[in-house]
Amino acid sequence: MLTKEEQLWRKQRLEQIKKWEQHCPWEDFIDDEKILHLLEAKKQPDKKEVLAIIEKAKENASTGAMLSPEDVATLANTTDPELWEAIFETAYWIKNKVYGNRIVLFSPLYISSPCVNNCAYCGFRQSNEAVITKTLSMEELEEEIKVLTDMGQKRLIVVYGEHPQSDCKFMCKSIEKIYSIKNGKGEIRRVNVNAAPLFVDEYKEIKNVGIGTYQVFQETYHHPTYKKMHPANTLKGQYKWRQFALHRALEAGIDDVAIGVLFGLYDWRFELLGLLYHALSLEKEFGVGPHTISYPRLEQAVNTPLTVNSPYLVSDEDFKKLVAIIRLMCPYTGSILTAREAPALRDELIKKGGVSQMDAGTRIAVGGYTEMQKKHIPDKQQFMIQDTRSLDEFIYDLCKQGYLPSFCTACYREGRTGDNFMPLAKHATVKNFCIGNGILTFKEYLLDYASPKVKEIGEKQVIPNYLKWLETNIPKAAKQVKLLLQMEEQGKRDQHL
Amino acid sequence: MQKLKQILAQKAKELCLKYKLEKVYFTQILGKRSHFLAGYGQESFVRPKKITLSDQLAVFIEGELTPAQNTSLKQELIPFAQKIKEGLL
Repeated sequence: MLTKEEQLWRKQRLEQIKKWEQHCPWEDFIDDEKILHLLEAKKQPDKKEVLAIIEKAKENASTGAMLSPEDVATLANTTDPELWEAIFETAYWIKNKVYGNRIVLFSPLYISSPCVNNCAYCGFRQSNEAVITKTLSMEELEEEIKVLTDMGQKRLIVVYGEHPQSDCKFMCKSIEKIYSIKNGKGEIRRVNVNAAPLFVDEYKEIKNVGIGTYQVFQETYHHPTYKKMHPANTLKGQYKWRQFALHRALEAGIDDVAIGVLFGLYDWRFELLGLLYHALSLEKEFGVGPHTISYPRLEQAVNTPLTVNSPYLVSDEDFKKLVAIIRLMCPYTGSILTAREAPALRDELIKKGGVSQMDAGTRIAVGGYTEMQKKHIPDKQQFMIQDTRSLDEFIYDLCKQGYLPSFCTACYREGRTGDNFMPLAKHATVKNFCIGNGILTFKEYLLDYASPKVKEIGEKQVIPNYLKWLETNIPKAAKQVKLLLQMEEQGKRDQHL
Repeated sequence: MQKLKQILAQKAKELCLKYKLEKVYFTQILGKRSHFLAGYGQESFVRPKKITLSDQLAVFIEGELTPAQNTSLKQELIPFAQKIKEGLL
């Protein structure tokens, strides 16, 4: 039950949102009928057509072009297992072509869970009395950051509920606090944000505290489902407001934005096309596509029946397909696979889905990192997570498979943002930075945080392998990285290209 | 903002050609973030040299500079950044 103050805050904000929607300068880019028609029309794809799309996707990896809606509908309807193997191989090939064989690591940090919305699928919905919500104090936030930096984390996605306690001012204050904390050699160098849509002036305030990426997930692009999931009198009930959340962020000058869908609310094929139309709209209006795409799958949440009985729950097999299609569809984008998924599936998807960013050692209860020693805390979580490996265990598994674990945060601190970042990703040259910075940040991890077995494999296999790659491909950068590695060994930190 | 970006892009081009640099770009300083504004040149995939011009503006340079060129470039850029700050350009 919302308090009077919360109700008033919501009412006033809702009025402002509705006013904005009345004067929205952009046209709704989701035509439900058109998407459904497209999916129907491509129901039985021709093998040659699928192979041609796969070839086109490979070519697009060097040009930054995206697949067309027709192409994506065709891939989504493909059933031939042989063709699927070709799609999976291509997803991996594209990811390596653009980003190299590194996996960027991050942690989500839930800062506040009280929320004035009442979304049918969310454990934090205001009517769910079975979940205890909480907003971190600055002292508690500092404790969380200490635990995260002690693990070796350098980059976060901070998560806030939509609530007066966690408004734009609070978000700025908490992000500034995070950046200010030094913990020995540890620090957080990049804070990405996952929060509610804001007004342009609010985004400007958030931009000024130096965030990385601003994420807003549409959850579902399908209008009737959106309406069903998000009650009309709530802030999240306003489809258009959310649909153009990132257009407003770009208008405010935040030029790294991220999109996503909560898979399981509606047909995954439809949602893939929704993501594509969203990316195309951002490109059309601002010339900058999504920095990352996320594809969380509906997971069980306390006292939230929809999370287990939705008719659109996505099977593991379909999940693999949709992750791979995202990579083919939008080759330049970062692809985020979270610890919601089980370890074996995550490991498989690095190869089959072209995933580029992952979290590890994750806790999703507010204050959960300081309670690390305890088990997961279902009555304080938005949903359940399945991959409970520690960061070090996860890194070891990556190393065993030959990947380069990376804590890189260099691009946004070296001015490679927005228009300066996109050409690197679109022309598949960003890996030339990714590998060098991956080596340097992994070395820091090995020096300061790694277990003996990770140190062993990291120093003897992973770093030499990737230095060799750099020497072969960018000798000038390899020379610089070797010098910077020596400086790290002498105690210097935060060395990057 | 658009006009400022045009001025910065022009300046970046001038510097690139004058000092035979591979790439020059200007950024807005926002805490840890260096927010790209405008630039010119080809990426060389090495660590760029950062010169902080004011509390809000920095320039990143890729390419070799002699010490004399370095001094000359700074002498050229500091008044330029001051004018930007004062909104004179």
